[in-house]
Amino acid sequence: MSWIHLAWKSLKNRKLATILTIFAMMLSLVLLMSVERIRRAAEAGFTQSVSGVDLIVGARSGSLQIVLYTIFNLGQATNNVSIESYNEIKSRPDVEWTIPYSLGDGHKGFRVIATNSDFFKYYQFRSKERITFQAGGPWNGMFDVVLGADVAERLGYQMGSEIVVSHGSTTGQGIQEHDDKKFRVAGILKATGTQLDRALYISLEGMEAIHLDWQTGSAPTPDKQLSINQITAEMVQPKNITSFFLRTKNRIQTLKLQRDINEFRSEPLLAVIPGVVLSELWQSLSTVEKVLKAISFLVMVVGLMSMLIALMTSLNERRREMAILRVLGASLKHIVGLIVLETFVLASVAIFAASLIKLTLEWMLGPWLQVKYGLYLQQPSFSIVEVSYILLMLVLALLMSLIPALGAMKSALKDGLSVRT
Amino acid sequence: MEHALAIKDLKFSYGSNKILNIPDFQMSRGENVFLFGSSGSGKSTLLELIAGILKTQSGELNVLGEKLHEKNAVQLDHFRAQNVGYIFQSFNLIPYLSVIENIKLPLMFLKHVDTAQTEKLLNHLVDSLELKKYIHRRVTDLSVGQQQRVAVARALLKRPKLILADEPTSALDYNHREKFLQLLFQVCEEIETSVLFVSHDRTIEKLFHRSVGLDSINTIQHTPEVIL
Amino acid sequence: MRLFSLMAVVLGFVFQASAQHHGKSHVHGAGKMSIAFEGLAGKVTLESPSESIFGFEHVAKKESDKKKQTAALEKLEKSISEMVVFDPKLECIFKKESIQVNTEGKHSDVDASFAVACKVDPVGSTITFNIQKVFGKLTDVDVQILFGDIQKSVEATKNGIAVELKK
Repeated sequence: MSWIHLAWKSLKNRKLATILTIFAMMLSLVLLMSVERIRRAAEAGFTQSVSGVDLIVGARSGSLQIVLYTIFNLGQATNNVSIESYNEIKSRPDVEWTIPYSLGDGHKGFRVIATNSDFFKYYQFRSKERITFQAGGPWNGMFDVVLGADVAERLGYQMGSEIVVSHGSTTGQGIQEHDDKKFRVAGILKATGTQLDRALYISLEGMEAIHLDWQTGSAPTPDKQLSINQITAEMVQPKNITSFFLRTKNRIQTLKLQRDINEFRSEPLLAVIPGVVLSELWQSLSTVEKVLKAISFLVMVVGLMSMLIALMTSLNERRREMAILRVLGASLKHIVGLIVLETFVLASVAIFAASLIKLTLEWMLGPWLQVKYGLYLQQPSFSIVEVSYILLMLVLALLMSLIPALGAMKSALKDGLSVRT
Repeated sequence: MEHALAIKDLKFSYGSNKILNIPDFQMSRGENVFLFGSSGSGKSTLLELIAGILKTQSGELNVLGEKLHEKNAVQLDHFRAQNVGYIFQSFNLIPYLSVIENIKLPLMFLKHVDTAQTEKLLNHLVDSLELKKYIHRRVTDLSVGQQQRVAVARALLKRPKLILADEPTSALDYNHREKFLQLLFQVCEEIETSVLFVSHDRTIEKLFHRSVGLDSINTIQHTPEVIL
Repeated sequence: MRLFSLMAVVLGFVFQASAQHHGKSHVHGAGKMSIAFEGLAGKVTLESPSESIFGFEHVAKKESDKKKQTAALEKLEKSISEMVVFDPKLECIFKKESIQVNTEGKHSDVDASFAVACKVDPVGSTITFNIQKVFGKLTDVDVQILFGDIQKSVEATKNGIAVELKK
């Protein structure tokens, strides 16, 4: 019989305490690892929704504001960028490409983004992944719409489905509907695990067309409504956009361009480097992260404490057992070793179970997290952080087990062979 | 012939509380000695000294030719693992291990185990102690007598040269005690093991080679505890 | 994303409020730095209130002020490689492009621009900022970093703040 076997049998003999202890330790580890995983996913969500974009340009406001409303559908733009300014910047020799964004309308809780075909051509996310279609393709007509994967899945749309865009609303049911000019689904994007999945994409001309007959932000009376066949190409030339993405040919030029845009003469604009702004955001979010981590560590402490309590309470019942082992030739070192070994077995089982649960949870909840909260669980499942949590827990558990182990040694020394139970 | 046990001027006390002062006591190899004394007379302390659980304080304690008074704690643990079999009064066994696991437990503390020989002895012990049927049972399912026989098998499996027994029969009735002792002696004789048996119950002393009162070898006299 | 978005928005406001003083306004001690690289070639720009560089913001007319200003700007040119420290293995060399003092009303700024040339691509290495070693009054420099597709920011508020050039 091996020592591990003896430790295992001894633990099994105290089934209830053992199971409860393992459960507490496991729970704390699952929590700790989950917080870390979600944090990583959230960070990835923020930092990986867009890549390869040097500047995001919008009307002058807060730099974070521009990034939030352009990429994450959070908050709103206070002003637009005129199409003249856009074209002027776009045609500069140091600009490689641009993607215009016109925001403001929505559809059943998802936002509608008006852009042009450069969006499909140039937009990158994560590490230089490009947009691909699971069905159809970019628009052909003015009233074609392309759906993000989540939109299609959650609302059950298919190729050819008809969609009514709501005015001025990206959350919930719109008050005013553009129901006189319906859009037809021409393409559905592949899931990306980013904000891209939760939007509908129409052309700038389409966006212009549904607002043509609108006067100062309210729907036209039926007699003033423009019918689709009255619309000409000139009528739908966009006059302004909300913001645009920009890629320079060379990163060094980006600095000069950013400065020039920020000092743009004809209207107040702001150009920000998205990664810079997001990394500033992360620095301020790190407080929240710290609080979450602190809570998780407290749970770990609770888990370890319950282990300690379980071991301590078992000690008195086990004095006889220790005396028997002593008389059979066990040294005091053996007694200490046995308790530490039991803890090692406890912690190992807890770690194994926690890892199993974590993987199962990820496997089961991963798709749901992605759809519902846009949290994309990045590989690898166990980062250096998770591994160090596991090691930390193991080391702390072993260190803490020295308390009961030394206690057992002391009482074994005191009791000798004459424990009366 | 060498002694199984040779004591000279062995003194032991807990603080100022003097327990033992044994000027001279010997036990030959192969001898079965019955050592009687009332509760609190220092029997357990003497056994713990001989087993090497307690360290000697002064005097000489030779067990199986080894000078225990010169050994440190680690050496004593090793000596015990190697040479001494011990049978408790009761609660001899680890409750969560099976009969066979309990019997084999002492092998964990040995440096070298002759597997073939041990297996042979194990079969023999299990047979002669009539434990074959129970070998995979939980020890808690056994009767007290059966449990004590398991303890004997466990104590003898490593072929110790000395068995220390601390009133192992007190939970048995007279008939069973006699039978138990005969069995113990028979097996001990086969592997040439000495037995030092301590008890306060003298009804079985005639079964031993020799019977000694602790009071007669210990110069420190204890007032017997009042048993209610 | 809703729960998370809510958190982000709330914190966004906190961040925005705390970031307000980083805006366009002229705050003594607060500077802005940009570092951009494409391959082995890069550019470092620094925009700082003049007060933090040479101690005053009026137009230097007195001889002593002029001297002070010239000395400080020379120090900036000479010491930029000690303020922005690349891994010595990269063998990066700074070269002044321009250092100007721009006065606007009561305030004046120093605008400096340096070209950097390295022998090894800095991606994957670490940049350390020791701005306060050279200009002790320049206590809060917002640095934006653009290395190919690596975009980062760091607040160089004390010596020894380092940023790793990786995603």
